[in-house]
Parts: sequence; C-alpha cells; structure tokens
Amino acid sequence: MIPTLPITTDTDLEADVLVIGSGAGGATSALMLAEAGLSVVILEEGLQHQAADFNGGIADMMAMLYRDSGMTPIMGKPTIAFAEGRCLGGSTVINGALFWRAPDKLLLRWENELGFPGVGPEALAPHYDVLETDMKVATQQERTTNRNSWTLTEACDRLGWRWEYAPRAQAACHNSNRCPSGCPNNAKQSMLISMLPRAVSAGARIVCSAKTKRIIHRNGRAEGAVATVTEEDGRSHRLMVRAKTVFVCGGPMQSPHLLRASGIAQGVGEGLHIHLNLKAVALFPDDMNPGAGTIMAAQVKEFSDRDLFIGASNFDPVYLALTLTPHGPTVIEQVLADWRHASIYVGQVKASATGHVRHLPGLDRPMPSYRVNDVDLVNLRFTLERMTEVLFAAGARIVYLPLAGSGPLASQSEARRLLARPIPPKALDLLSVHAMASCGLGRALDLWGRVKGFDNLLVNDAAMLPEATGVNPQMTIMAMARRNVRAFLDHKG
Amino acid sequence: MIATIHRALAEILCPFSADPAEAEQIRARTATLLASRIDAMASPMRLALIILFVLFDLTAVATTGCSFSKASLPARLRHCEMAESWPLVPFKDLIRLARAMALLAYYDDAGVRLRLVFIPGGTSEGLS
Repeated sequence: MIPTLPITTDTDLEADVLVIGSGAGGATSALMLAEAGLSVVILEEGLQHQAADFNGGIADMMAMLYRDSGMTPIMGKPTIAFAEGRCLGGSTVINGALFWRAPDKLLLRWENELGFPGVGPEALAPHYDVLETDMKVATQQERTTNRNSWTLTEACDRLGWRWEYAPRAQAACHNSNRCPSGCPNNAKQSMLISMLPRAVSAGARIVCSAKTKRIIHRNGRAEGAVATVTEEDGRSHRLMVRAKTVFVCGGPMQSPHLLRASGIAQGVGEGLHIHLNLKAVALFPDDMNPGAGTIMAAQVKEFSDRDLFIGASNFDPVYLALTLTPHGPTVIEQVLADWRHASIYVGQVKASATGHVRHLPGLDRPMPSYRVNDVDLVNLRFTLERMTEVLFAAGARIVYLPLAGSGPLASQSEARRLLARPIPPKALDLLSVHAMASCGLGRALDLWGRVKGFDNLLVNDAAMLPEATGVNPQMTIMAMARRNVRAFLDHKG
Repeated sequence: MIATIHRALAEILCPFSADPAEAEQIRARTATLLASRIDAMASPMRLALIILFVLFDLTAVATTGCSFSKASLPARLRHCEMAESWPLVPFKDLIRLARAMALLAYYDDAGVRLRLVFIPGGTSEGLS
C-alpha cells in the first residue's frame, strides 16, 4: 500500500502546493513538484485499492473503482454513458493503458493556429520520451494470445489498410483481460504503481476519501481548499489545506465543477470535447479463445486522418452480454452459449462539436451534456461501415452493431443496406471513456494552465487540453501536465 | 414500494437459471444493483427515475389490470414490451437500465461463469 495520511478529526494542513486529484494529471504534477523540493498534499476523493483487491466480480469492481459504477450520463440525444475512475490513481487504474503520442498534425495546430507555445511535436517530444521510459511503454506482439487483434490486422493486410501495434504502459502483461476492473498483476503502469509511490518517496502526502468542496480564494489568489474526509465507519471530518499554489486535477468533469462551485466561472465547463465509442460483436467460425488477451494489441489506423480507429476490446461474458443489449435476450443467450467464437470490437471517433459541464447550485456533482449532431451521425455511420467491412474481411460470419433493431448482419452488403437507411440518434448505443478540454487552454486558462485571473491556481488534467486528441489521451495529458509544471517551476525560480 | 418494483422487474429480466437458489440469488443481486445505481445518481435524475418507476408500475393497470409489481409474470412481460414502445414516456430507458443490471448480475455470477466454462485469461486450447 502507498502510505497515506489518516484524518481522524477536523484538521488543518499547510503545503507549498495542493494537488486535487491523483489521476494522470494530478500524479504527474505531484511527482514533479515534490521532486523539485516543494511540500505537496494530494487530495483524492476515492479510496486506495491495490492489485490484491482486483479479483472480485465485475459489478463489485465497477462499484469500487468507478464513479457512478461507470455509468455517468452525458445528457443529450442519445444519452452517452461516460466511465471514469474514482479511486487513488484515477482513471489510470481502470483504463487500457494505451499510450499514444498525439498526432503531429494536431500538435502543430495547437502551436501554430491556436498559438500555444511549447506544445508542438518537437517541444513535447522530450516529455513523451521521459514518459515512455518511466511508464515502461511497450507493444505486445506475441501471437499466442490476443487472437481478436491479429484477426483484425490480417484483415487489414487483405484490405490494404494501415494498422499499428498498440503501445501500452505495461510490463509483462499477463493477458488476463481485466484492464477495466483493475490489473490484478501490477503489469499495468497505473499511477498507483508508477508516479504516486515516487511522489510519496519525494515527500508528497496523500489524503484519500477526501472530497474537495471548494477552493478558497481571495483577490485573484488561491489560498487552499476545504474538503470533507470520510472514514470507513462513515464519520466525516473537515479538512482545510492552506497552500501557496493549487493544482486542480480532478478530471474533465470534476475540475470544472469544483471551479464553478468555488465561484470561478469564466470559460469554465465550456468546450467539452469527447470521443464517441461504438462497440460491436463479431462471431467467427473458429475458436477465438477471447478470454486470452488484453485490450487491443493493435489498432486499425487507416482512417486516423478522420480521427477514427478500430481495435479489439477487453473480453468477459459480462462485457459481451452488455454489448449485445440492443439485440435482446434471445440473441444474448445464443451468443453467450457460443462465447468462444465471439469477440468484441470498438470503433472510436472524435465528436465534432463541443458540449458543456454545468454546475447546478446545491447539486454536488457536475451535469455534463453533449448533443450528437448531423456531422457526428455521418462520422458514426462511416465508423460502423468500416467496422463491418474489416470484420467481414476478418472472416466474421455474423456481426452485431450497437444499433437497436439492426439484427444480425451476415455480410457487408447487408451492412451497407442497413447503414444506407437513416440512423435515429436514439437507436445508437454510445459510450465514451475520454472527455477533455472542459477548461481548455486559452478559454478558461492562460497558455500555461493557470486559471484566468489567478497566478497560483492551475488546472492540469484532461480538462486543460485545448481540444480532443483523437487518440487515447493519457500520454498527452501527462506530457502537457509536465509542460505546465515545468513552466510553473521555472517561473517560480 | 420501489424495492418491490425493482424485484418484480428482476424476476422477468434475469436470464433463466435452472437452479432455484442461484436464480433467487441473481434476482436479489439485480434488485440490489438497480437500487444502488439509482441511489448513486444526481438527485434530480434520481427523483425523475423514482417517479418513472412508480408511473411504470401504475400504468400496468391499463395493460394488465393490476399494478406491475402485482401482475403475473406473463402479464409483466407484456407490459414491458408495450411500455418500451410508448413514445411519450421514456420507459424504454428505464427497462434498458434494469436489463443491463440483470445481465451484469447473471453473467457475473460465479455459478453461471462456471457453466460457461469461462476462465479469465483464456486457455491454451485452439491457439495456433
């Protein structure tokens, strides 16, 4: 276990820096700040859980590790299920540890068109390099597992499509296929086993089960924050942390919510960007042994210019049944009886518009919203077409799409006929695991992550990104967090 | 009252299980999961869902002759099928949530997984 600070009575703490949140942005920030010799306090809303705890059933793990058990609704038509971690280490504990650099084209746009210094491919490269080493990033190329991925890459080769091995922050992954419910083998390099232990060794203090209620500020200066710490027996205590600087790293939903709840509203919660995920099930004539593997070992990159990728998804009977929900109980029962021939695939595309994270007075949680528009529908249709194309090329005999009433598809011509018809947004079973930019550099923040009007209050997590990355964002969140902390330390020195 | 409605939904949405003890365990788990998901929701949404559940229960009087929680299993199934297609009230979302919880409870059950012969991490069979 990582040592944490027990709070058993109303408490006041002092620190040079308060970091709110312990996910990719928070842990990265805390480590750099502590290693620079600053006294750091980290407040984490969730509890600490370690590998030995990650062996329970999926429902229990979801309740233990996710906010709202992984079903936070992003309101709109349709409502999108959003999943994020709520535990020490944040979403890095429950994600697939996919570690892609942001595309050069995007970073050049941030640098040249949006005018952010130090975010171009060359400027971020040293941060990416350090992270790739620290996070033990590697691909998994062994062919004895992950058959669902190799089936896809073989189909890409037949179609002449580009694909790449997926870099992941993992050391000797056991292919136990449990990424979303916490890695039981400590192979995944979540913040729990990478940045946070190092931050504590450098002197950072962590308080778990500490829900930050508001940031204390006066005349454009943050002075700390007030939190409620709840003990296991339900007793709660007030915790006041006074700090010279506050880093808000609660994630793309909680960070804007906390700022707004603290009376800081300018540009906060506007410009939410998300990635939209579509999951499909393919049935193959061969035994896919789908339990043996991990989240995608490779990604179809042929359509990356459209911010779209396709890959295999983690497999479990629970995930298989839930993916098939739009198709009804009979299909679920039939497919589950034949699960060894099934695999789950995901297509992810960048949403075209922006949403909001609202704060309702008196409501202790954010209200995110995103409205799927006509451009999204075109992109989602394109995604579904490419998914069916590659899956049938891979030899699938049946494909089930996340589209209510679509039925089993037995060929690409059937899929084309189905997708030529209008798709009512409400028929789509959409989910998202990536939200970004809800505080955005240049909107709510200055060029270096400081909240506008403040020189000692920063947002340094996914909320700070200028826009969606189009690829798995963890590495870019961490690289940008490093950039901002570096600038903060240089400025401070 | 809400707990009774959750339970009545679980009884028709859980996949079939031949073992009565296992079936009972899965139904109870479904009702618990459903209640805990709703409890965790933001208060406006929680309230809206509770009202929707009550409405769902009472509208069964029109389709089955008695409230949903007191109707027979076939009558409950009939009400679900009809209610899912009503355009003005979002019963479809409510049933979808309940169905997801039923699937989660069923396929997460140790006995069911044993019967499926699912081994996390897979086996070496069938690999080239």
